[in-house]
Amino acid sequence: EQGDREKPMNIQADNCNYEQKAQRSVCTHNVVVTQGTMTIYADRLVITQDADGNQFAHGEGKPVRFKQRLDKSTDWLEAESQRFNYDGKKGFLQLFDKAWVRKSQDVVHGDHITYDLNTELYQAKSKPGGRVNITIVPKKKEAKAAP
Amino acid sequence: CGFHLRGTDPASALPFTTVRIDGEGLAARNLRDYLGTYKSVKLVKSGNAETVIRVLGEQYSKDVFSVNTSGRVSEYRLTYRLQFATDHKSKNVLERGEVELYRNLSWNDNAILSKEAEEATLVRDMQRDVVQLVLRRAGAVVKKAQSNAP
Amino acid sequence: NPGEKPEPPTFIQSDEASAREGEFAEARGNVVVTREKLKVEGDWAHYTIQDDRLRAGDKVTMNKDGDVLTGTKLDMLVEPRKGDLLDPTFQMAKGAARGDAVKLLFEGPDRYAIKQGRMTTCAPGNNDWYLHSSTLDLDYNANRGQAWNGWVEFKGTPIFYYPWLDFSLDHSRKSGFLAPSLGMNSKNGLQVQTPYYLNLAPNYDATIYPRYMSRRGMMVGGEFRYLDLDYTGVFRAEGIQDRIDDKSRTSVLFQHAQKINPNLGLSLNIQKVSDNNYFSDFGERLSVSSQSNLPREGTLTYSQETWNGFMRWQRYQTLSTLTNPVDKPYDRMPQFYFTGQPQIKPWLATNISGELTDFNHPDKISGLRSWAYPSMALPYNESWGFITPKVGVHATSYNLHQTNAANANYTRTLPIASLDSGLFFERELKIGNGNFLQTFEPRAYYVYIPYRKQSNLPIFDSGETDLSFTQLFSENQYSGQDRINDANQVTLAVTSRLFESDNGIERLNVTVGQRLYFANQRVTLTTTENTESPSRSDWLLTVGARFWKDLSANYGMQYNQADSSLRRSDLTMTWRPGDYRTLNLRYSINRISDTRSADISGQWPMGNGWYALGRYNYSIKDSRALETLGGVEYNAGCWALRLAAQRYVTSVTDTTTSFFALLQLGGIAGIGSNPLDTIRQSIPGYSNTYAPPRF
Repeated sequence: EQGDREKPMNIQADNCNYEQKAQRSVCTHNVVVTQGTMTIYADRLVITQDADGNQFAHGEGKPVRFKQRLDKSTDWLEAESQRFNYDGKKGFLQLFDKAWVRKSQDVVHGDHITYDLNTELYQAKSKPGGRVNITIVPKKKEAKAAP
Repeated sequence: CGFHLRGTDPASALPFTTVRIDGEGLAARNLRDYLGTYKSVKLVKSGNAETVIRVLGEQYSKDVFSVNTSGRVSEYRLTYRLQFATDHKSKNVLERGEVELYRNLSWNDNAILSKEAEEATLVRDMQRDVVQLVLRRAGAVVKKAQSNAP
Repeated sequence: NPGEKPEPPTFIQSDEASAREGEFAEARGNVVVTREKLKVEGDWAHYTIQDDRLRAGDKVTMNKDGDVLTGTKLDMLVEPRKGDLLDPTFQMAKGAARGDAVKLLFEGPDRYAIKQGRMTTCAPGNNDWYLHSSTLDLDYNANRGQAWNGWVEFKGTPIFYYPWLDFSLDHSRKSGFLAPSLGMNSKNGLQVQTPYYLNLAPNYDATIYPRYMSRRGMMVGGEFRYLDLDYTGVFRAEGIQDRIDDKSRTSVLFQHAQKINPNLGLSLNIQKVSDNNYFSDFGERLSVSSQSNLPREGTLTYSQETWNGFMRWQRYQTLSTLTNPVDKPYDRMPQFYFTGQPQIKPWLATNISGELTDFNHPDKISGLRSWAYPSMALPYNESWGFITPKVGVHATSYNLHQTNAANANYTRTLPIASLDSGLFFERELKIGNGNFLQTFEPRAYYVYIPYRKQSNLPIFDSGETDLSFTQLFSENQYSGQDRINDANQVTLAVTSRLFESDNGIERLNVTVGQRLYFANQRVTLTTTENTESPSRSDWLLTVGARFWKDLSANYGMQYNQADSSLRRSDLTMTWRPGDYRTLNLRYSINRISDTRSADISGQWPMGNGWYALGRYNYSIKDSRALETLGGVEYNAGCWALRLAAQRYVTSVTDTTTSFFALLQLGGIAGIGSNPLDTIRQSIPGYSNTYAPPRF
């Protein structure tokens, strides 16, 4: 949801250590990040923070799994990929290699998917030779306006 | 010269003892009339018979065969076709046999009533001639079926 | 609505894509959009989910159930199949219709409206003909195509323009234009006929055939056919305001056959033309143009196992012209005939036939004639032969209307006795490697009929019959009932047949026979009787052979022994080795009708789609061609061209020459009956080289 990014983020992992010099913390093995309704599972995660407090993260996993509830409906957004970048400032989530994003039944597969958390717009690109696949399942029409 | 009366040796008589003719039309009736008076074969009106000859259809066509110099028809060719099937011991031995006969009829526009009467006699004559040809065909396929049967 | 099929998912595959859930998806780079059987490919595609709208561009290919459409820009509502495609090309699987246009509108599932386009059913790469149209509507649900104001281009040149054209897309019985035909005719000038077929219902249809003749004007004809479980019929009418004769000329035909119940049948056959030259002017086919008597009759037939009969009202319109005078036959209004085989004893073949007829004629003696002919026969049939004695009594009475005197009554009663007998000899025969059975069937047929004076009786329906084996083995040489020849004669004949042993098919039959007269035959058709007549009839020989399935020959000869002259000799041969291959040959000499003619006709493929056909019927005695027909047919797969030229005799001095051209564009025009049916009439065994392509 929209308000997730204002919520506190906590990270669990088998081990995490904070590198003072690089101003970043690196966690590995069973990393679980939760922030509001958003949850990320990964094998390795690197978190940094800029002066204004915006958080940036990137990580890998076999695969990385990403889940967040949508604003306007009870549906969930799920995603997976081998690697991902999270830009808290611009509200972008970038997924790389065998990535896919599913919202209710609509799915997008691609090599590189950028998901704009503000506009819920995602851009998918494929590596040369690769392909982007989108599946759109029409919603059961709610009762239409009476004619 | 080798000729012998048909039927004096068993090979050449009609190879069935009871026969039924199915189908309407004059040809079917002629078959029934002939076999009805045929000594060594019993014609069955209804109920089963050793051999059944089913008349499938008969067609008659009258085509312009020649024209005279004033462009009037001078001759018609009358063609009569009959299709029939044969079952022996309730097994089909001839699915669709056809016999075709011709007659030429000279035509004279000035005597159309008498020419139509002559046409009728020619057609009736073909419907009589067809009897021997159908029995010959049916007899041959039944004989063949009997010789193939164990 | 409940139970509505869940809408099918849409799959989009591309190099790149961007989407917003529930709103739109945009894809770029080798885009492939599929939904169930529909597949759209393009450089880019934009799909808005809410209104199910798919736009695609630059180079779009659409594929569904084998139909392939391409274009530059697609904008379509996918499920309702509504929208348009710019610069389309189309190739339909069903009906093999392909073409291109400025714009294609989707008007629902399997319905297309093609604007400013052209269409053909020729395979890709073969652009022999195109149907151009401002609007072409292809509706594959109703299987109907329609085209509005366009033209047909054949081999690059426009050949005819049309305001509107409709045709069936699956060659089923659909209303539509039949193949138009063009012709030239020495009597009627240029002829253009564009028949239109109306498939009104499964069991009745109609064909309208406007026929323009440059010298006579526009003739409009129509045919209505109906078919039901127990009745069928056809009504045909034609009419023209003839410019040459400056009067309206019409022809009407109505034929109806009906089974009222298993025993009772009704048939009507009513034909009428406005003037005697109608058929020789407008009859396109030799058999039609040579008709002289048009029947107008209604018949009620009764038939059952033992008794058969009919009640008939019959008149004729006689087309007698100066060059071809024809006698008008008697009207038979009514005529009642019956025949029956009551079975008194199984071994006794009893037969009774009879007739009651009121004969009328404007300028000949008219009256009532009734006759009855009961007879009994004792048929003894055995496999080795048969003996059939038969006796009967033929009684006739006339009640003639005299113009000035009271009615005259005449009666004639005479016994008729005959003895028919024959033997069947057989022997096995081996010819080549085939087993055959040859028969030898001598037959003798004796007839005794006493003399009765008949020269005072009128001739209503009696006439001379041809000498044939049918006549040699009948009691009366005269057809009809007004003359019964006195007879004390025997017919002797021998038949030999060759059968294949294992299937009983007759390969050859030869019959030779003659009739011997023991007494002078006095009864004639005229008022003067014979004082002396020949003691034997002409010899008669007939040969029928069917060598293989496709080669058959018939020969008939009549030879007069007295003056040792050939009266008739007639040879016909037919060779039909395969599809579209037939050759018929006929040579006949007839001294009785003083004719001698040769007739050859045939159809033969000339290779790569070309077929030649022809007929030459030449009267050697008058050294004049009675009918000459030459034609070529070219079948190019998706179109066929038929060219034929025909010249036939219509009177002693007059012939009709006509040329036909018929271009059949596969799929566009149904193949209906067309003037080229004359070929089928003239060439026995002719088979249509351009049956509509099966879809």
